[in-house]
Amino acid sequence: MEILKFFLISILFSCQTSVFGGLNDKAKEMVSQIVSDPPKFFYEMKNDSEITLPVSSGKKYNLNFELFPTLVPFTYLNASINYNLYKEGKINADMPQLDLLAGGAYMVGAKIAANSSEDITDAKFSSYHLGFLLTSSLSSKTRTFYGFKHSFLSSKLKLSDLKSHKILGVEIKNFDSSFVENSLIFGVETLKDVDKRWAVQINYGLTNNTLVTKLSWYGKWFELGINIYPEGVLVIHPTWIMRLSF
Amino acid sequence: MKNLFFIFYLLFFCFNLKASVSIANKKYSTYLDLSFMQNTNLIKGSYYGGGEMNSSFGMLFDFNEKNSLALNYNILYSGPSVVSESGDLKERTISQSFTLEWQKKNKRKIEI
Repeated sequence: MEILKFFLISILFSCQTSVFGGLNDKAKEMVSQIVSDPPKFFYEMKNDSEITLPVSSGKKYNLNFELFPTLVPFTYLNASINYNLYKEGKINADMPQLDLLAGGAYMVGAKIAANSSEDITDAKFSSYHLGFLLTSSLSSKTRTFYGFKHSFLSSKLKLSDLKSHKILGVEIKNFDSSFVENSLIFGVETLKDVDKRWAVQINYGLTNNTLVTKLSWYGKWFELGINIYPEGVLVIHPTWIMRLSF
Repeated sequence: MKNLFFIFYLLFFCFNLKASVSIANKKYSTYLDLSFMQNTNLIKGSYYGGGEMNSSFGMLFDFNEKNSLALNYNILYSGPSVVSESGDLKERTISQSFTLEWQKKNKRKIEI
């Protein structure tokens, strides 16, 4: 029932632009924003798959696969690992837990579209991220975490020169560029029940001033979340992630 | 009512969280204050969204009974949310601050 409620709220959030008037104008504005800076838009999608949460107590590493909205509907095949290098208090009580983060994503659909469509000559979207997290316990159930993340996205789209391409009246052009972001991370995680946690965090990009607030609820297998990009094309991204802990 | 326009202000999301702990066993303590809000305004059928965030992250290192070091990083974001009848105001600001503070306890009594 709680999951159902979560999804209903998520749909409301994600549909906010269409619920309140001016759908066509808003859609045009969104397309314009994407066309003016395509890597930034795809970076926001990719950023959803960058899981910047600490490894749970008693576990050595987490494997993460984001299912929505990267894999579905954007065919962004992604995987990431959060590897625990040092457990808090193992050698010294003052040393926080240290986790390493790494992951990659590749848009499978872009290549398929390029091969099957005459309009698209070439398309490639690939990315990776690397980082680390330090985690300190506040109490037996609450931990704060803070760290750094480096993200890289390469985006390339080449359209057929034979005709002009338009979406909602906005002309789509070729682009071949990359997007680099170095982000500060800080947040808090709370244990609610056995294998049930929730977390809130802020990622602030020092290079491009990208800002995102992430809320996550996660259990043994899956993580549900809401990512808020105040400056993004789509402000609220509901997320669904498979999160395996070993 | 003729000169008034109706404002639907929907507070989609408002969150505030604070976490801190006293340093009983550790030589350091972390401090976190996350506060953010995302909203939507609907005026005469037009849609405007806005958001605000004021969050800080800090640490306190207790070297000994007398000396301690406090670090604090604050980030303040204010997005477009104000819309007047004459036009929309889409100003946005982001500011950051970093504070470093050395605290030294003085046991000397001061009497006035």
